[in-house]
Amino acid sequence: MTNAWIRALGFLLLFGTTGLFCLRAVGAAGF
Amino acid sequence: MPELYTGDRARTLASNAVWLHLLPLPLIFAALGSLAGGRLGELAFEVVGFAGLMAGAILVRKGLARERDYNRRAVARAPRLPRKLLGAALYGVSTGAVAMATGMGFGVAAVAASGAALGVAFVYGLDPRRDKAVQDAGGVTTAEVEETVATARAKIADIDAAARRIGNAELKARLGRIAARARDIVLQLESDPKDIRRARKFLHVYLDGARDVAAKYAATHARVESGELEGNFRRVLEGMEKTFEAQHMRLLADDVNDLDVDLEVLRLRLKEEGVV
Repeated sequence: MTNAWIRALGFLLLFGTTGLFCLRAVGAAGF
Repeated sequence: MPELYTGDRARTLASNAVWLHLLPLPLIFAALGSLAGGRLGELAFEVVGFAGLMAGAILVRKGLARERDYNRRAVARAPRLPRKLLGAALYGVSTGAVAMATGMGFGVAAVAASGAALGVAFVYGLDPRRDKAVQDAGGVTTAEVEETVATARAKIADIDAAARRIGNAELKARLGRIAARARDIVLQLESDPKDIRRARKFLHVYLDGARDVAAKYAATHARVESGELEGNFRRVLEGMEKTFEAQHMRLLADDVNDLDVDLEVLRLRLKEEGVV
């Protein structure tokens, strides 16, 4: 895999975990 | 040959770990909501998660700065602290905490934590681990090169600082050129440390001379405006520019002639002007 693909996968992982749960936390807080 | 002074800016912006700082921002609203609703357990996880994510992002950013510095140098030690790795781990754990805040079980939180840590490592990479040692240094050790280079850079920084205090644009520009030339010489020495011994006099006596002249002029000129003083200073700087340039050329050309010859001329000039 090229570096660009690894970076893309990394972004996917980041948005899919940190990004997702931070947004979920907002939802859970009643907004 | 390491990269010269330019070309970093575009990369800096791209590799500034901006995303790592942006992703946790929604947590501020989440925490406010939890606070308003009186759900303190949730709030605790959110606050801890937010602080951890931001701290992790800062660590990664510092690691990136270290890495850029490492890449720019011809001789460098690998950073002692694996900041990017620690940052990635912290980011992961904190993501786990946020997942717990949303009511997820430990298993899901652990998966989220690993995913986030891996994500950070994939996007921003790991810390440089190997020291870039001196090659073919002719008996000069890595530590010696590092120390020499660090000392010289500190002196050049002093020259820059003095230049900032000088009002006269022309003299300021001259000093700037001298500092830039000195920086090139240091970089050249770093990539070809064999020359360090030959350049010793330059590094110790003349760089010091340049720094002292600049500092002295900056200090006096703040108090008195004297055309004569300015003239003397200009002549000294002219001599210095020429000498520094000649030094650089000789280093580049691997000229085996003694570098001290033009330095001797400069020394006499400095003495004539009553600087040393």
